[in-house]
Amino acid sequence: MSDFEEDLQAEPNLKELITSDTYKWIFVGGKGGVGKTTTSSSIAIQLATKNPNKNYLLISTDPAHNLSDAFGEKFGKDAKKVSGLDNLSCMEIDPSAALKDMNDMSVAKQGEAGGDQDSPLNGLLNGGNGGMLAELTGSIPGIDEALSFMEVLKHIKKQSVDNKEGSEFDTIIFDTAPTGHTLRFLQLPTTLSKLLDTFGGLTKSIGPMMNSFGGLGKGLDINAMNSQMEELKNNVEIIRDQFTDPSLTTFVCVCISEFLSLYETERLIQELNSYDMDVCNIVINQLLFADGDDECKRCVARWKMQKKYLGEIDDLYEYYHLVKMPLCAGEVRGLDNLKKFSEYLYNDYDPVADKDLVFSLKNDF
Amino acid sequence: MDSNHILILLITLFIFQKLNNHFGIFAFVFTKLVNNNNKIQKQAAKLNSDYKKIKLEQDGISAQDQYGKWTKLNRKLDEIEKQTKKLKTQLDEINKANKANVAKYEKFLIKFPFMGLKMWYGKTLLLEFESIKVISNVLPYTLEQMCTVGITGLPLIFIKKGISFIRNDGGKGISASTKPSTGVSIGILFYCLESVISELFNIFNSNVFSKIEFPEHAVKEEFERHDLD
Repeated sequence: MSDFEEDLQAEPNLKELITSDTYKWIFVGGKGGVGKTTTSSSIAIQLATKNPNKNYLLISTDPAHNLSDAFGEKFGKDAKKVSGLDNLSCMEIDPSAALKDMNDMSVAKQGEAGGDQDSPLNGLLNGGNGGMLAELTGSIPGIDEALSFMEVLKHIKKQSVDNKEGSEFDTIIFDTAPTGHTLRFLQLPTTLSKLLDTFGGLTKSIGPMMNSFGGLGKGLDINAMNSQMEELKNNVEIIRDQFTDPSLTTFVCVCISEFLSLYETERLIQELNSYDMDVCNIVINQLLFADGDDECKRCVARWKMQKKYLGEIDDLYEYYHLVKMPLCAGEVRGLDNLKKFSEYLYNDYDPVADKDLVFSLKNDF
Repeated sequence: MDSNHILILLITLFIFQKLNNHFGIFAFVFTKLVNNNNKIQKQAAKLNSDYKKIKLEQDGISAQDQYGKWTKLNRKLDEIEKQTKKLKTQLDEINKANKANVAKYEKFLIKFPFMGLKMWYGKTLLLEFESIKVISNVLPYTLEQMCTVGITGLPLIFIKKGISFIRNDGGKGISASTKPSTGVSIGILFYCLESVISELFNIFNSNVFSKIEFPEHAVKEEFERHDLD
């Protein structure tokens, strides 16, 4: 390989990602069971340890949350600092709790506006733990993606409020749901933008009529609704611009060296390219590195299959950072194990020099 | 214009209109003359051919054994699909514009002249009842008038009768409202012609002459009944 080609070759680690100071949004995604949570937690830990003056937030958008299990401590819908790391917080979005909060707020607002909070219908819809309405809306397909998106909107709002406070967090890392859900989440800015445009057009044409209805009772304030929609639209546009800016947002694909996972990764990368989203890092997990003296025939056979695909991946994703991570003997859970594991996202893993990692993880949970 | 010449002209337009509706002659000629989608169709055909070649090559290799090559071919196929979709959109737009133009020309070159001539010469008599003894005085008077003035002309007779009655002009309006000689006018002829042709088309389009297969169990029962007999 010539020097020029060597310069173009991307390093097989995430050093560039971790040391970058421009990223605001880092998505970690891939097929189910490939190690997204482990990788996203590892990236978050590396960011926090290598940049102690910055604050990071790791959000799980997967309805089947695993962050609490990965770190060995409970996280909820509010950002909570990780024990042992002052500049890293975690959050698991809970749709039913978030909807209950929204419901409580709307009931309180209704009371302020003079509405009848004690009516039987109100009790049915809003009473108890969020009521029937919260239960119904909590099970709508796509509600998790919508609530995650609302979380993003909250942070965007904080950033843009006269830039006084700015956002509490410098970078937000998303531990995403398996591929399909994530793609749906990433389409939300475009979909919402179109929806708001259509709705804006409608309110312009029927707005005066709606205003007259509003005058008859306590209800619709079209002007207030319009200004809120305008604000929402602006924020959605900001998000869309930020998500498509390669200096602000990037997507880290996680996969294993098997056909189905690689095929899904390829599909994911093509979709992300169509959304103009930056993808330049691929983490290949669960590699056996069973060369030479390995006595396990199964491991050797499996490693042979993995090597075959690794060769193809090197050829297909020439200009990507391809990070090869080993399959460890123990589970990568708890802060200590994650710290050990995450080092090799920053420094390349050498299967010969660093083989102690495989058997060094503690499993005393 | 002589009524025979009018009839020949109208029948020509009528036949051309029916043939055009059925075979799209005008659209075909227009598309050939304008030729604005030829380049895109050629590009689409080439892409289609490339797609088939690449698909054939891809189907000949194992995705698991040659994953890299298979994926590169897949990427080419995705690219071709994207370009084909774009070309299809362009083609649809051109075809839509062509269709609108064809409809416009059809209206001004066939439909409106036909309708205009039919309305202008609609009451020209082609056949007088009195000249043919066999059919003279066979039809009721009202029907004879209808064959002369057409369906829309018939209510007009009653309106004129009414006005004449109100004016009390001694029946001058009545006699003026009816035609002195009755017969079959061009308007009525074409009305009947169109109705008959439309009915014939309906009969051929509905499955009147198609063979209906008897259900098996009915055939079996029939055989059993014959055997018993």
